[in-house]
Amino acid sequence: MDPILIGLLLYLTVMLGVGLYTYRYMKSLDDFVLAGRRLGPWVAAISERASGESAWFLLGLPAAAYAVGFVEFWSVIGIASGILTSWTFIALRLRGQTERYGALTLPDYFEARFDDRTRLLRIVSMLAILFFYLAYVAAQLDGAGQILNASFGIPHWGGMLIGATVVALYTLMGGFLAVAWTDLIQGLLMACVAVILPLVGIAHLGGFGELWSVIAAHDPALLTMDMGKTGSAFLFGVAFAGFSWCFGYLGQPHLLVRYMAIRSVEDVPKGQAIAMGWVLIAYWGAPMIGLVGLAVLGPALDNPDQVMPLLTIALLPGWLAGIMIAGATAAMMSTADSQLLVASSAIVEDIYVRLVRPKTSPEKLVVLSRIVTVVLTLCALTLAFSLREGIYKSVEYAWTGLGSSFGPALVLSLWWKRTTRWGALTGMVGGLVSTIVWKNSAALQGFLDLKAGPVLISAALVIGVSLATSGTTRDAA
Amino acid sequence: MPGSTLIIVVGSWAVLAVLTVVAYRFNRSRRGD
Repeated sequence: MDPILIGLLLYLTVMLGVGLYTYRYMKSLDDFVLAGRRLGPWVAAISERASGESAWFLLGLPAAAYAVGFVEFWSVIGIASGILTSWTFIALRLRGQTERYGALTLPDYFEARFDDRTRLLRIVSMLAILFFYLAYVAAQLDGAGQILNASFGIPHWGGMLIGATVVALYTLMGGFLAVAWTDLIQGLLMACVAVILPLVGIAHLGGFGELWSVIAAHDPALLTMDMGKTGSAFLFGVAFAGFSWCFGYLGQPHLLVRYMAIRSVEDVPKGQAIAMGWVLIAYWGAPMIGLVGLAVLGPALDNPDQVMPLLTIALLPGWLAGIMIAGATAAMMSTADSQLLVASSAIVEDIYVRLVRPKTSPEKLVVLSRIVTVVLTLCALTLAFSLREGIYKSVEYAWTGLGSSFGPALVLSLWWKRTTRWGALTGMVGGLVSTIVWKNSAALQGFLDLKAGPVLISAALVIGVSLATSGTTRDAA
Repeated sequence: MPGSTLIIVVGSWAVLAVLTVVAYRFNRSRRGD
């Protein structure tokens, strides 16, 4: 049997084992969507990191660095800044306030914070979550197809089907608790891959000097961070465009829910330190995989999204390659499972329980959540078959949509007492709509990067409309 | 590798490490909020 396959199957068996083990703890919807708010700082922080870094981290980002070189470090700096900002200015307050309001989900929080009896905030939140998460999960399933195709020659569609089946199975079994614990294993594995793979590649080439000279022989501009641009073309078109990954970080419900699930506010600073430790140790490695891949594999890959698994197979012995490829699978699975859970809770908790049948028994709600998870997986799989863009661009779209819809409204609701319901609502709608418009307009993207334009519009709307409407909401502090 | 690339990459990591410590202290001081 192929040793790579043995490594991968071992990993998938462990994941399903965790799902099976945590199955017994699923007694209520609170357990299913928030693990009963009992995650320690290590599980919460590494789970947040594993969910935050999707197939984008070990497939999309290396592919981008493979194509454009060191310029991708602007994205890395932006993402790392976003993670730090989010843990610093959102985690603590959101944890405290969601417990105070008894909120299980982000829409719960918005509705309680603004005392919204019209339910409009809840409905708009659900629409944004469903719309963008389906695209996001589809990109992860595409990643599963890429990994299994590059590693075992399985057809791309077959790889997507296998990825969807495994993710749906263990999410169904254990809910949030299974997802958080599998995330812990996956997050540690992803960090190992991001650190070990580029170091092995650099050693294989004969050191950093050799790596730089091989890359420079392909194109010296790949070693610069300005792509030969100067002035505003560099500032806005290169540096800010990469850095603007930062903004989306403030409004990703599948990450925010990790803050809400931490055992107590006392654990938040420790979780923050652990998460940032993970970033500082591991994040430089993802773009380096692309650069080392360029030096080792050459510049003529048909599909750059496969640079990581191909580099792994080229450099490592079979069993170790299997574990590394499991790490890339982990990146995909740990994000897709968290997103499926948030999307299913948006339907069951935010709509069914709150608006349709509030008195449904806890057992029935868990069953319903599982059915919805299966349906959403099938929808994402259908969408994945029609994806025409690579993983990087697909994730960028969904990331921006979620960040623009929720980020400004959330941060301002936590820190600015004058934020009003109408301000939050128009900010959310403005973020959602402007992302779709921006994505389909080359002129707007030429004016300002997709990841920055919609979030700025959303922030301006929250502030402007809040100032224009009388504030009758509860205090944030 | 150009020196400017090295400075930006290593420098940004150093700044992030310092900010992480500052942010940790900030959040520890606000746990009672």
